[in-house]
Amino acid sequence: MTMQIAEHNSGNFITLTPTGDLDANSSMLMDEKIQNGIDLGIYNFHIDCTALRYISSAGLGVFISFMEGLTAHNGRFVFSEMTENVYKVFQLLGLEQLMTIVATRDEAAKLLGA
Amino acid sequence: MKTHYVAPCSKQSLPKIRAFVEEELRSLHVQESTTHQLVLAVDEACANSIIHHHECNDHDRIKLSISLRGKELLIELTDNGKPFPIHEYKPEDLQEIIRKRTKGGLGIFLITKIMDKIEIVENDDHFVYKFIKYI
Repeated sequence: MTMQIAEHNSGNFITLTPTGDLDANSSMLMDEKIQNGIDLGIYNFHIDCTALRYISSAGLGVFISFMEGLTAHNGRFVFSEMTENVYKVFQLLGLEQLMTIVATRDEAAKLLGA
Repeated sequence: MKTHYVAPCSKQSLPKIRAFVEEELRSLHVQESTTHQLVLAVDEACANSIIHHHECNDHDRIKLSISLRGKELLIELTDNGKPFPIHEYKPEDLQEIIRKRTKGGLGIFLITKIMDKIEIVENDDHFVYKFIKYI
């Protein structure tokens, strides 16, 4: 399954909604979307995982590679609506301790100042 | 019984590899949560071979085999050239990976975390990664 990423710019944060599998083949697209947001001066991202079926280390690596840069600008990633399988991959690496993961889109939006 | 899948060394092969592993493990009645982890580990191993070993040359091939003997599930990845010593790999600290802002270094960490045993068998013109999971 090829991945598609919908995006919505709320002004102070961008919501990215990937559909499909975020793997070594598709992770560049996520990388580009985040970089495009940063180029606009936005450092807060809501990653809506409702339709994210699978994530590999290449997908996680994209988020990890941007983390410090976002933090330096008081920004962050907030993940929501994660399936159990995707959450378990975060857990295997201990990333659930380092990333902000919430249950719903509304919680994510609230955290990011909507 | 052993089933095989031969894949071209292209990143586009990865979804097909995952589908093959998922289907085989389902037919072997492996638990869904274990299946998901094994699909991830195989995906990581194949991505590593395809990207770093073959530089995405889709004329090259890698071969996967899956078999179950009792409670021992064996997934073999056959490749040519020189193997990466996955079984000796010491993963970097996650904080260090974040500090360096690198995108790599996590795949082999995941493989070693998911698999119970990893062996490498070297032959003249190829090698086999043997990934073992007790289910």
